Amino acid sequence: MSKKTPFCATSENDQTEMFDFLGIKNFDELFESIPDKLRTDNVNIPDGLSEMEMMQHIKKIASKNKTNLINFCGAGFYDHYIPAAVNALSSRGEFYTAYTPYQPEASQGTLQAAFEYQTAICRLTDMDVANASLFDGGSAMIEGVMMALRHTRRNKVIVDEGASPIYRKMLKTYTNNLSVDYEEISIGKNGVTNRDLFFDKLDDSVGAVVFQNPNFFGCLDDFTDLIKKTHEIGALVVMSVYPMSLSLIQTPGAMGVDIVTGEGQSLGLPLNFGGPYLGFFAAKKELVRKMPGRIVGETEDINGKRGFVLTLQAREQHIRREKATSNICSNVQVCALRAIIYLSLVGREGFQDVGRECMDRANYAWNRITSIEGISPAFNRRFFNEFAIRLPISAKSLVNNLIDEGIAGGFPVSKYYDNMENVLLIAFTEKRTKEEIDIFATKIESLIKGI
Amino acid sequence: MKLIYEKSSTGRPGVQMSSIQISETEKIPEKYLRKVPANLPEVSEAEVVRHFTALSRLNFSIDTHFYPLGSCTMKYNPKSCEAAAALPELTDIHPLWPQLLGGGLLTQGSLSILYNLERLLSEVTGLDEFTLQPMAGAHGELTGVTLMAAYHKDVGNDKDHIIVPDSAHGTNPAAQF
Repeated sequence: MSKKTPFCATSENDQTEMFDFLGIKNFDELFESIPDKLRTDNVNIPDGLSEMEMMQHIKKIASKNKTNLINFCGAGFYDHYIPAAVNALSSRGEFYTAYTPYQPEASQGTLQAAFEYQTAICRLTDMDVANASLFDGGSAMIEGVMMALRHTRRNKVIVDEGASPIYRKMLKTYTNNLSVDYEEISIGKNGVTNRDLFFDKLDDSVGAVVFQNPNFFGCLDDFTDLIKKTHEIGALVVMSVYPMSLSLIQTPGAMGVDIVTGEGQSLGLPLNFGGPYLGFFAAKKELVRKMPGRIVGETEDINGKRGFVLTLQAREQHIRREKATSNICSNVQVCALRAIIYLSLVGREGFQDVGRECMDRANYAWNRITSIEGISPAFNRRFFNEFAIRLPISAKSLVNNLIDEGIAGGFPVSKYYDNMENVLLIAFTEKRTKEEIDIFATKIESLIKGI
Repeated sequence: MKLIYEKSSTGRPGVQMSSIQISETEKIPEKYLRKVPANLPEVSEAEVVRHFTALSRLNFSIDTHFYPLGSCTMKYNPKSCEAAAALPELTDIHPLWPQLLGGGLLTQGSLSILYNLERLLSEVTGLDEFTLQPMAGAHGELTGVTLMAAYHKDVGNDKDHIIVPDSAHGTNPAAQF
């Protein structure tokens, strides 16, 4: 028996009592039926630390991260303010340590919160139905594409290069092993979807089309014409959106999108170095039986009392196994809970205020930064809170120099796009002050002059 | 229990975010803008706190009850783990910082935690390498299947069958799509 830990509930006396009850002498006897060859006696991991030592140790390691940077890096993940009540409520043990709500009578709290979350996602996106969440924006996009191909019984997907290159990479990895024909269309000169190229590729073998709004460069578009043509050939449109932008920006539902996916991190989740995040997924009503993941519905119990349950479960893997719509049998409930708490806290008006402030700060930055000699906007001035600038020098080296000044100065897009060595993508949230933007602009200006 | 939307009352403010307008936002054409605001709840912070606290009390959970359920590892998680994971030095880190030139230096804390966890889990599983990329068990299965496919492709094996025992978790067969 190893060292005692506060996480194992039994004392030596307790154990002796249990051994006596079982009629055995010790632990070894308990596991006697497991043959030696199936056992390991050589797991080389260090001894545990006390709680105090562990916290001291982890704080020391964590301090090697640099957190006092002024951040202008977005590219799909945004540094928004999180009201204190989000942490306080979502970390309640009753939510945090609850099991999958397969037993509705023991899970009404989780189920109602999930139902309210789904409602919020439908209202943000202007769609009919939403699921209880998927892992992240990328996996939600993949599920959206697979669902569209399932529905249309076609195997070709066209993906706009304006969609996040990270999500496209994930999508390619998935489709690579399936009989799916994957094609991308390069971005137009103005930073939005290249219409000619798109219409050229669109034929009746296409089952799914993927767009993103605002796209990776922060550019907004009206996709109505593209969606209309896509529907004419019988394909479905999957659109990835930045939920915070839906405070002010045209909704996918109003544009006619069939399936909406996205990363919900901006709704009350910390950046967390990449996760856990929140994939959201919404669709038109007629597609509900083909949707992946859990869906929570409202019902009545035998006494006519309102209640909430997992519904349409025949879509799911634990019912139909190989015929399931997806292998996803889980959702990121605590993350979805944070999102609905966040949205309830900021509310109808507050959500628009946050959006306006993001847009406002980005506009101020646009005026300050694009007037610096040698810098020009990469694309037009239709953005929410993020835009790309063209520098007279390499974006990579500028960002490298800005790090020394205590600034995470944006994302150089050349990592994912050809011929864009000098293009830098910069994002602004309600957290960035005028002073911080001024410092940013001044540092950029002096660094450009210095090089 | 009432939904949070049913507790809403027009004009009731929630959390106040900020009020410093720093510029005039350039007008963008109407067609790019949302026509009607999203109909989110209008409730005070206290109402949000009471609503979600009341909801939490409708749950059966490990923190409130004995929970002898096996499949999804209903073990006790030490509270110190939550406290450690919530350190701002770990939560306020942008996932793309390591991709910036010189950005790896900004995230040595998080990267060393990931590395050391990988090493420990490799030791526990008795395997050489580990990835922390999958986000759940089902996602891990998919990663495994993808890895096998990549291997066979690489060595030139023309294979397209997977055998899954009936006793496997439901996500196993579903992982093949």
